[in-house]
Amino acid sequence: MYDFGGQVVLVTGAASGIGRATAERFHSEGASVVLADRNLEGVQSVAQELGGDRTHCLEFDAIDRDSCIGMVRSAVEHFGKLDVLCNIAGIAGGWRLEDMPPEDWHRMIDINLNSLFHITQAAIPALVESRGNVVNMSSASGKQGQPYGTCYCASKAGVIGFSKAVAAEFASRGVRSNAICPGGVKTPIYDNYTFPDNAEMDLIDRMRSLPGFGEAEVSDITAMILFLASDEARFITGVAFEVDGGQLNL
Amino acid sequence: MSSSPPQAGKAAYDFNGVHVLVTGGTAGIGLATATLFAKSGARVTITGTREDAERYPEQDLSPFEYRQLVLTDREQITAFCSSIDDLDVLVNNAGGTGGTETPYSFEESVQVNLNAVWQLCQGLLPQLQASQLPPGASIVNIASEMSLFASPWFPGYGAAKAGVVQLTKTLAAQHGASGLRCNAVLPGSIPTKMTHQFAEDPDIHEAVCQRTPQRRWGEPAEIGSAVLFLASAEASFVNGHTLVVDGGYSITDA
Repeated sequence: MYDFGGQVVLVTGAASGIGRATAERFHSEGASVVLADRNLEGVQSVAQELGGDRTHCLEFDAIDRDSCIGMVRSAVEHFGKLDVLCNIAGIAGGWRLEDMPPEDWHRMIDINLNSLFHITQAAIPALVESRGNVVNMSSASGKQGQPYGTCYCASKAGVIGFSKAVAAEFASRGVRSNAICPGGVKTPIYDNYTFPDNAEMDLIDRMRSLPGFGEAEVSDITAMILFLASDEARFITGVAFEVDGGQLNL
Repeated sequence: MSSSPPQAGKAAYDFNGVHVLVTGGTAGIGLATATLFAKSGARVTITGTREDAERYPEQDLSPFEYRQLVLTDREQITAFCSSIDDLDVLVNNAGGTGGTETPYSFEESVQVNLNAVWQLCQGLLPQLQASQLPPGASIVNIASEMSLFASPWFPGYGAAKAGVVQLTKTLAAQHGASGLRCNAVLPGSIPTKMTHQFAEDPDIHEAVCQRTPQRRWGEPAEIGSAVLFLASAEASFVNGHTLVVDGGYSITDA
């Protein structure tokens, strides 16, 4: 559908969920794909299924700045350039504000937000060189308030702000940056999302009863990512694209 | 680096067997959108204000079926809707300011840019709901930078275009359950018949470039490619969204 032949795409969180599906779709559209994840065996098995020589697997820990930077350097070095960076790796979970341990807060902010700083900072020279683009995984949680989601919402709202600021700063150098805001997708993150004990479920049910909540397929999200990364979207930068079946409108 | 600059409108969407209606399809964004749909296999009907297609000698409108539609004429809109047998994609593109020489009154602006859009969505609803398109039929409304920003000119245009964004969300909420999607595309500064006097004024042209992070005006096809994406199966879960295509112009907006 799109022609990504000759392009190099780096996907973080590529061992499962949206990251995995994104790597697979870019590969099927002709791109060379670097699959990066904390779980090296996971991405290796994805790469094995894809076959051929247009894949490269890298292990990295999103919580660690040096690991992020080293991963990006290896990625750029392997295929000699970088056209598209997909920041997809992330974690989710709910806590009561009163009970949330600071170490859990910092861990989630490190993985969901700070890693974007490390990775994008390391990747930006290559992206300027290729006049490439960045697609960042935010969430409907980045736009709406969700009970027990103080940290998740803050991290995903931060992704939108980061993404827009990168767009503003690098547009004149030919680099685009956009964010995607899914509203509950059938992935391991969604299935394993935990609410605190004695959570007021009526608050959660109110959110979950919105039309479209949790009904998105992974392919719905990857379709947006490919569109934004493609030349079709060459005049689109700094947007936070909702893929939620309409729930944020209500 | 590739030798030629990247272009929008190259994606291989498949609209074979799909009937698309683009209002205001004789020039600018509407013509670019209609052209991309036709290239992707769609049967495309366009509308214009003149009596027949021959009265647009400056354009080749032969790939399309042409219909006259004047959006200030409510009775004509009603008759037009009844005359459409089947429809899969409705692109509400027609509209405008009337120009600086003969600007629309507030009421005319709201009629052309908002009331008529509502009337077309309502009037063509039965055809859209009967569509057999696998991802479901869809409406794509063309909003405007004036949906977001104030301008010292054209108060009716801005108010109506802000209304189009809200109408888009309302239609999405109303009809999402039946599989009909409704989204909007919000173009930045695109040189067209409507904007030519601004595009051709060197000071205004340069001011827009300065304010736009990508440092240029957009092209009609860059809006058309966003419309095609939203109407395609790729966007089957996108509903009620207003997609901003403006080279970053509105990034600094809240």
